[in-house]
Amino acid sequence: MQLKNESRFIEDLKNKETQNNAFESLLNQYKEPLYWHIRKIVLNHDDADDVLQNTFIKIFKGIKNFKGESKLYTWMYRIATNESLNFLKLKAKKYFNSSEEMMTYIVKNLKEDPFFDGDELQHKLQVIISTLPQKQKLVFQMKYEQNMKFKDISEILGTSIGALKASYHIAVNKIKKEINEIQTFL
Amino acid sequence: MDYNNNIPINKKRFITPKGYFESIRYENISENKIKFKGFIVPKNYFISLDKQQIFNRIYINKIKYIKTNFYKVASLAAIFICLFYILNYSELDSYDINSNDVINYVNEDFFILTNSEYSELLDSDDLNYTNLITYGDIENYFLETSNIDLENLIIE
Repeated sequence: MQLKNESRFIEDLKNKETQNNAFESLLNQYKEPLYWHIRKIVLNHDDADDVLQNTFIKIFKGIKNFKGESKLYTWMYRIATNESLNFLKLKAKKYFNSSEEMMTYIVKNLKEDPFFDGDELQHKLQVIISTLPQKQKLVFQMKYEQNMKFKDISEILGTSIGALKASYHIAVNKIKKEINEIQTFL
Repeated sequence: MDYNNNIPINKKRFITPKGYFESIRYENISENKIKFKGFIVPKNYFISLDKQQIFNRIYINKIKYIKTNFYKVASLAAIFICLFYILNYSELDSYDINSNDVINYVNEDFFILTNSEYSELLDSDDLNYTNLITYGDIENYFLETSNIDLENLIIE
């Protein structure tokens, strides 16, 4: 997912004359992958759209301070992840008593969401994922669903690769166990 | 019915609704809905999301920020002005009041004091009779104003 000639591209993004075109190119390349990354966290399409636009605003405004210590795309994913988590935190504070209560409500009503047409098993999978601790949830989504490398996930989440592998292993086992129980029941 | 390895097979055992295969079209699958393990996106969502939408949002956020802060700053300024006014103009010294204004105010018909209220306002200096006008003063006054006929004037 890396951009060719990244350092030159970053220069174009920082340069006022070339910024618009460079940003358009960045937007076209990353809007879909970032959207799905965000959507897996917030679950709802309208919320994902909101967070995605805020993410790109932050990227646009923050690019002049980007020092290049990490890859551009891991920096963008970090912004998207933080924006999504902050969004959920604010939503929980505004409308619910806790984050857990909010996630339970969202997942429970996923079937009524016009932008979710998964079957019973898909719905159950989302319910199981929502019960995972935040870190395990993020690692599972990034590794299993988006097929990202542990090295990149480590840069995005600011966690060591070893800890990520452990979290991923625990998450996968938990989900496998729950899915097997459901399938046995079905 | 066919017999394959002595197992009766009815090739027409499964049926489909009428027109089912005609209804499956490429557009229905690829264009209308982009599926990702149960999650779907509105049609043309990614096509419609462009840089102008992001720039518009930046502009709207700026306006919102200015509006919110304008009301805050205006309220603070109003409080400051009120405080400034109260602190600088609330203490009025009695010498700042024009005595003519007081006299005019007292002489207005709506401001009527009874004799007892007047006496309360006066102090001992005001009640010192030596300060009152004497008969000699009155005489001198009438002498000075020569038009007055002294013999016909009754002085009480």
